[in-house]
Amino acid sequence: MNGLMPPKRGGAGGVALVLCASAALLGVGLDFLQRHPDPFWIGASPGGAAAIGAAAALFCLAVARLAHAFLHRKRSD
Amino acid sequence: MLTLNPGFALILAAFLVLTAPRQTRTWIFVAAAFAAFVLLLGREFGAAEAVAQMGLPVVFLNLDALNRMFGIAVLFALIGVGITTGARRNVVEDAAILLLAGGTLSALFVGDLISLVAAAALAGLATAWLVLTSPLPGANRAGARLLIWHGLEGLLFLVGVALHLTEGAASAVLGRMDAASVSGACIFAAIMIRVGAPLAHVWLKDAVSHASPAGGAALCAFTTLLGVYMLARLYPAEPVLTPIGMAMIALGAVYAVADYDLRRASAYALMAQTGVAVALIGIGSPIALAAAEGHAFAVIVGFTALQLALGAILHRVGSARLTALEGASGIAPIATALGIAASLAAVSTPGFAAYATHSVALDAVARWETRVLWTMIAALPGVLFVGLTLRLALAAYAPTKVQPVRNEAPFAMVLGTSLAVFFCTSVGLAPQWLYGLMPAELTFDPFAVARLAPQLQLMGVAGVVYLLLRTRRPLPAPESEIPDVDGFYRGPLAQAGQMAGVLALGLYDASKRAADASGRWLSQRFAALVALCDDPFSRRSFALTGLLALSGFLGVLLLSTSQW
Repeated sequence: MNGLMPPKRGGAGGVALVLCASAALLGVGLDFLQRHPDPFWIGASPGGAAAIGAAAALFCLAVARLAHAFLHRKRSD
Repeated sequence: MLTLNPGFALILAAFLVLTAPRQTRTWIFVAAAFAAFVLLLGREFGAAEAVAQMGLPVVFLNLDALNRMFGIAVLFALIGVGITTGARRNVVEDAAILLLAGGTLSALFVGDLISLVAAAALAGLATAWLVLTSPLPGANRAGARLLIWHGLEGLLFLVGVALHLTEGAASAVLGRMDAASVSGACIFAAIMIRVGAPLAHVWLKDAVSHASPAGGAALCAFTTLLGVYMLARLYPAEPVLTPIGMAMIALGAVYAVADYDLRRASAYALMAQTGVAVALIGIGSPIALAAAEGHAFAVIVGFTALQLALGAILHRVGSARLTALEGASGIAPIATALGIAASLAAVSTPGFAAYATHSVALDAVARWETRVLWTMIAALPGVLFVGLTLRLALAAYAPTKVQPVRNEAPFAMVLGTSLAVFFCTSVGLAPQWLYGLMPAELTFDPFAVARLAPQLQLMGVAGVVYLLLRTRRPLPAPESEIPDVDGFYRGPLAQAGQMAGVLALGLYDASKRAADASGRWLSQRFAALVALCDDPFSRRSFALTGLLALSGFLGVLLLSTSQW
């Protein structure tokens, strides 16, 4: 038992996923459809924001995991 | 037209509210805010006549585009907070909120350094008072800690201003200062405490998490904003501000995601968003300064709304921790929905005020040299969207085994929060009004596809990745707290202080015992000598007594002859 459980069914997760996916698709579509002047670096090029967003989410997951591990250890102390 | 500082209207109202009946207090808040609006908007830009005090000019009112913008943000927030106060009885807290808002507003509009420091100190004291009046557990200790922070800030201000004034009376008038000089560095350090820079940032989350629902919103609205204003006024284009701002963004983002208490997480998120404004002030170009000022405005209104909503949930659920929020949507559905809307406003979602200024901020740093800062500013909404909005929504709408009993937040709280969210939405949908307030003339379209599409994809992808990869873990115990700098001074440093105190007491005790023993020994020797001299004709003492008497006589004789 490693303390991990699958996410609960129901709640706001499904709705949030649909809304986020719609925003992401709309954003990526509009971003690639429009004409871009030369971006000042790769992060500002089409699709760059999606990469930054994915990195931001991974950062959140990593931080949350670290915080959880720390607090869980502290609790067992 | 009156040349009264608008902040004075709020300070007067703070005294008035202490004696007013409960039903009238909310009206006093709103009336004081409108009176301040009249004083603020009914006057042309420029300084009022200076008064000389001890040879130094004192300018109680100096109105320009910069302080007018910050002043409007303070008054918007005050109206929302003021309406919320109608939900509970705490006259002392009402007075503290008005005094805090009044001190902050006064500091924004004065035109000389001494008045600025005095008004900032008044606001600092009111901040501590506000926390001390909170009914939440641990508020007294948090208030005392806050008092120490503001005492340190006041000391630095005092030393800095005293040294600065040695350059002459003219230096008392507000102008750009040099952070490399001793006086400038002291004042800069004091402002760093107020703005919540790294290492001095812990006071904000400590105070916010221990303040009452209305108090937490007031703290978010009226404290760090003054620090940003002072930086924009006294240290524009100061290069060191850019790395400080970046550190604030990084630290605030990490803790906003890590902390399980959403009020504390929101305070950290405010720190991160304030870091954007601080970094932009460090960049110093006209568009960066305009973006910094606009972002401070939008963020303050957004976070006031968020704190009000979280306060309303806290009022009904009893805690703002994620463990306690499960099923909160069934208890207080309107407050929860407002909380999600307010969190969207705070994280710069398109359609809200903070997005309009976030876009300007990105344009201001869109250069190769500042690409790291650009990336941090761009990524921040994604991080905060996950840390605040998604975590709140997932916890509040989580299915529960038992159907919760509906117990909506009081009407005054819902109304105050709705108004704050309305401010954010209306400014966000019509941002030209906000751009018109900025000191620099700005023509900008935040809803251009080139700006809107990246923001939508960034937040959308961040949400999708988080929702797909998250795993549900048992949440930590309610008393668990993520360690921060305060963990050092409340833990090891406090223990070291205790040990140093015990050691110092031991040393004092030992030295006292040694002094007593040596005194006793000396007095015994002296008493023996006196006893010896008291019997001059005994065999034992005759020779010694005679020798001593002869030596004394010769000594007196020599001294007396040396005078001649």
